[in-house]
Amino acid sequence: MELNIIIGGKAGAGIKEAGRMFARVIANLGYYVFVDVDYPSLIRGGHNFVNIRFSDKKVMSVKSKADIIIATDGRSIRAHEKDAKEDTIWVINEKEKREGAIRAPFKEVAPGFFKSSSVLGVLLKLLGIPLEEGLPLILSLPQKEKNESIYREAYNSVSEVFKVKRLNGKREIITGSEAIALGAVDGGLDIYVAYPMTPASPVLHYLAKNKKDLGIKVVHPENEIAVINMALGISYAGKRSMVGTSGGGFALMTEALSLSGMAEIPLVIYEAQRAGPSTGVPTYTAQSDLLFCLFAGHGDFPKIVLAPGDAEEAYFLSREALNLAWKFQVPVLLLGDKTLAESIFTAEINRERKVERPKLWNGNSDYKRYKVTADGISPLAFPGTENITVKVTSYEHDERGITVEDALLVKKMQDKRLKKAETIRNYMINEDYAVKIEGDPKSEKVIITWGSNKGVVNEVAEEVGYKVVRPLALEPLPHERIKREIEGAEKVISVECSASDQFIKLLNMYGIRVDTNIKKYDGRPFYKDELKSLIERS
Amino acid sequence: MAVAKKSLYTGAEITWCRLCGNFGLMSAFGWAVQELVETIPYEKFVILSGIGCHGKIVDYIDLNSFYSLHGRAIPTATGIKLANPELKVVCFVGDGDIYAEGISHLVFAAKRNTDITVIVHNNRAYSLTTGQFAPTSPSYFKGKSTPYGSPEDPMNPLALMLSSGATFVARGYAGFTDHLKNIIKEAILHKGFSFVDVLQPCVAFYNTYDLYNRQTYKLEQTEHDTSDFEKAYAKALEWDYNREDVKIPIGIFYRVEKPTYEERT
Repeated sequence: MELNIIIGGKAGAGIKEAGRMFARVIANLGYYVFVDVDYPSLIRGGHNFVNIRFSDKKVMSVKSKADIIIATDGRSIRAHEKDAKEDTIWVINEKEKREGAIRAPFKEVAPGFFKSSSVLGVLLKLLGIPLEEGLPLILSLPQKEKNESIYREAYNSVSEVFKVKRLNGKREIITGSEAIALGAVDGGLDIYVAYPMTPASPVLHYLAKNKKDLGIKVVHPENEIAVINMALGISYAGKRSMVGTSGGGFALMTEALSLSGMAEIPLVIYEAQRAGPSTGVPTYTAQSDLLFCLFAGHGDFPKIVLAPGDAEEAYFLSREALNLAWKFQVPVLLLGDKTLAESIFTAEINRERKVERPKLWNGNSDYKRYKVTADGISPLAFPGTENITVKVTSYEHDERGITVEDALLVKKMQDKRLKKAETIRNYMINEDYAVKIEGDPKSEKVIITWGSNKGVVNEVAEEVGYKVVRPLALEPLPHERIKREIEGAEKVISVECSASDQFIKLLNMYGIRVDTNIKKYDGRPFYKDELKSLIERS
Repeated sequence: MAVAKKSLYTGAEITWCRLCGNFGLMSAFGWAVQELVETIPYEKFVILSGIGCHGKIVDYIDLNSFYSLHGRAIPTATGIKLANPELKVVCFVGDGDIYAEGISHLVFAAKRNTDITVIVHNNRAYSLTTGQFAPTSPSYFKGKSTPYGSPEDPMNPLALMLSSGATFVARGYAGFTDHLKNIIKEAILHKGFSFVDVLQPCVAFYNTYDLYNRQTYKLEQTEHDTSDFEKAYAKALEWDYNREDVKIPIGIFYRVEKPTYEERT
């Protein structure tokens, strides 16, 4: 059993909420589900839709062609004609007309949740799912009596078309943003600092809403420059900080990113990519900040860039990012995108707190914040410690943290940071997660990709018999391992969401060549049927 | 019991000009700290600076420090205070540094009443960059970027701070070191956001010793009521930074208590 469902309507009409509630119900019945949320950058009007795919087998992507299209307004009918197949089942608003369509009362007594209740009612009935399965969700909404009567009326207004049976067990759903937030908390996050920017904001909203239960502070300052400098102050004082933003906000942060490198202050930056350049297409997806993130910051300094592919990896790498930042006293970028941030994934996340102790001053000698050591990592101490002073600085400095310009000292401290870069590299490239091998590992044909393409690429690769090579560590890039994995392959295809082949440029820097590239840059993620045909034709 | 005093000097080579106003300011701060350590231990102090001649002060003073970016000391200080409210956090900033590059942070720190102290080395010129006009330079100031004078009038930082919600607003003069020391002590002891604009002559690009020696007068020698916002605002407007022919009040203009940002976050 596998179905792909599109629900469309006006922005603000509860379409996203309907998708979320349906995903919850279908996961409760034991199915795997994946939801792509497609919405414009506005509050009311326009056109929103959710694309939902569920199955008794693992699903990690959606298709472009739908089995069911639920169009809650006239515009949605027109917008989704292109997504219909010959046998697609259409459900439209009772006020609209379309040949062969089922008509249903999509009521909007007030903007928002009421329409989602009617959508859920209609959809569950179509799929032959008992009314009771959706009821707890309806009753958790505000104005539950009104929602319940709308839900019941909608449920009873249509007939069963499918019979979706309950499977064994129950599955969990989570968005990438929630996974990132929880991963950070379990990595010891103390204070999250962010200025609102789509698609990074859901992490801010989630943490702000739950900060009391999670035991953290959440701050929303005047701009992104304040955000990152505040975070550096927090880390200097010994608390774990993280910031979140998208490309434009990260551009504003880059001066202080370099400060983090020079002053050796731990910091995690979550960068949720959206379609650029500039303001771009704010609520749509892209992977076109890759090279910007890898090369961000003036001057030479080590940093780590990690790219999760789904909610489970988002949780794991977010937690890991906090620990790596403190282990090596460097900025760590967690590079996501709109697809990762806002899609709903089926994932079982077993939360476990992991806060590694960083290298700390032992209290036995004079304290030097930038003491030269064999691995390039100087022991940490924090202001407030008796009998020592902790001096950090944006200038080149001596071991105590006092400004220097002397040639020998300038080189000595640059060498210290280079040594640290080498320590990081040796550590990262040997981490198992730095490169993932998926699909058909024995295949001679290889797809190389990164980030949120994971789900769709893996699904397609398994069907068409490709091996998938996907680095999660982009800096330092485990290039020897990648080379080993693709050595002797009869064909290597890269898949990315960038118009200017940024991922290929990264691979080429290390002498890794690909035969064909498949790229998409219209702000939408790859759809499974689309990618499959592109690979078959390549 | 008297606390054992340590030298506050790191031993780093001091590269300010002879007779630079920064010396007076640094001495005033150093004395203030040596008096305050009876109740606040050295390790509880964190000093920050932006970028400019003023910034070197953190290299010279042997206290915890964060030599920040141009204009960014204040958000960094806010982060430090949020992370550890027990610390006494003092930002040394320049006039170009915080009235131009980082002005949004200054306004927001006042708005939040974050419990930090901001001391502005206001020499009314960009000096480390060899003499350009600054936000508080008079319009007749001929800098390297404005050789025919500035097309802008100077801003009034005290009025700005009062209207932004600062709960402690003062002006000092680097030439009156003892008076400045007392202002700085009061500023550090103030619970909430404290702001001190320090008139600081620059012997290289804008030597204002004569002007300030002649025109300043001390507010505490008048009937000024520091709890009255209207009066504080009127006092702030008394001297237009474009004029040399009016008296310049120095001292504490305004001081009230409100809940701090750290308490409310």
